[in-house]
Amino acid sequence: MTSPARSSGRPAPAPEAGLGPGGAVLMAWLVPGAAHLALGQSRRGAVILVVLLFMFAAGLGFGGRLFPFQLAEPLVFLAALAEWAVALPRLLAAAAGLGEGRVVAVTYEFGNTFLIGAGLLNMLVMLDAVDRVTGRKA
Amino acid sequence: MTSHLGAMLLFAVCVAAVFGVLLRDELGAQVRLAGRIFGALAAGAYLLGWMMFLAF
Repeated sequence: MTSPARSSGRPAPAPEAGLGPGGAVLMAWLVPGAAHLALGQSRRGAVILVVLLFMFAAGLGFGGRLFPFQLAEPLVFLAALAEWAVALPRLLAAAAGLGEGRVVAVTYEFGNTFLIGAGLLNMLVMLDAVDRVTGRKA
Repeated sequence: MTSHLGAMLLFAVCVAAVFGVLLRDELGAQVRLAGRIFGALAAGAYLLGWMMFLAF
């Protein structure tokens, strides 16, 4: 059994958006939840915005590190990739000199987990925004 | 906050909230799914913690 959107061939784009898939990805990448807010899904967007910004801030507060892109260290590279999935907060935090990483802090690894987790969740948010713009999801 | 359990629960709440709003449309269903995910994460971590404590 197929969903109504799939049975009619190409799904209809979100009507009120005026936003293409690329724009949705860009908005969600820069600010978590911004694409959903632009699509008129205010509750969903607000929850994503608050939770992911909180996770990012908590990660910094716990002493987590903003990892650089380092190809010689694959895990550091992947951590950096995940953290860059929350672009604007990542940029602002780096500009403010935050995220040096307090390795001796008890919560250092939790900090990294929160920072990386926020980025990974925002990747899912970006995919969800594309699905909603293209009509795969209501 | 330096409690590992507290930090883990906080992380579980955040992850559950995001999955809840992404995967369900109605508020009640979102809350129910988030609760289930939170419970699974918290119980799983607690169980795993005990298993590691007993095994190592």
